[in-house]
Amino acid sequence: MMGIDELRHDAAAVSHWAQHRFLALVIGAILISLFLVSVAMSIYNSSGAAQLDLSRPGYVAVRKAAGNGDSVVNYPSNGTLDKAALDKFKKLYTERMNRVMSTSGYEDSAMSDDSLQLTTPAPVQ
Amino acid sequence: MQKISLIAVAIIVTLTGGVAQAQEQTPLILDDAQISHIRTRCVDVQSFLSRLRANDGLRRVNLGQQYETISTRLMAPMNSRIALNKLDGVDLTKTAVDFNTQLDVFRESYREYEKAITTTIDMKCKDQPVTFYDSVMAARAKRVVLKESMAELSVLLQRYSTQFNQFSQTTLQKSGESQ
Repeated sequence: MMGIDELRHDAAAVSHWAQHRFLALVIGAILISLFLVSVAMSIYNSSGAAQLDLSRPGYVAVRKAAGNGDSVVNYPSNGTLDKAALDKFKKLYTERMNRVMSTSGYEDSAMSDDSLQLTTPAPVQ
Repeated sequence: MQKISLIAVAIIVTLTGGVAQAQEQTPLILDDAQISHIRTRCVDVQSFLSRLRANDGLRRVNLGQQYETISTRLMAPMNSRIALNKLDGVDLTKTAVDFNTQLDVFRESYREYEKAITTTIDMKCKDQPVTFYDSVMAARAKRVVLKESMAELSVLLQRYSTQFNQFSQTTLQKSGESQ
């Protein structure tokens, strides 16, 4: 049979948990959400999605210029390959290829020492 | 005796190899004037690199769209159509596979380059001018790799075009249709 002191102790223990369970729930929810956000961020960074995200700080100036005016290309993956079909493909492909080939980018000169003026001291005036 | 000689030769080769490698990787030695100059210029350079990164990001998005369109909406359907018509499109398929592989290299090269240039931009360059300069050199090297991967994609695009023209001529000749 339980004594009065044991009953008091149990009651105190129950009320202690009851008092803090809401706080524990909130902390638990925050910890779980932090974990899920960290997983999501690591996937975002490792998948290459981050590099395509122009909503990041520092890309505001160029954001509007992204992906303008490119119509969707659809070439059917079935059907006969007659002259008309081949000509249509050639037209679509050549157009896209020329567009890509005419794009200059990632030139070495943009980051050369001369361009950045890093190693040549400025002339003393 | 022979064993000792061989070990000695191996040690010498290893050491000289190590020295040669070290010499290859030795960064440019900066004098005090240059370090001071870098410290003065670095904030402007970071600002320039920040703008360059934004423009490069835009180019990556636009180029990526073009490459994806060509790969998934043109090359893949054409290869599928050739297969369904039971025609010989092995060369075209191989080039398309190479293109996709190279596209992965391009994506990875850009990721590496962006990481390198972001490190350079975020660095406290006035406190670490030499590290900053090394970081610029590292980003520059990544940019060269990126440019090379882009050039390789252009080569593959051109190759697919040439192969398609040959395929087209052969197919039309076989079917009796003239151009």
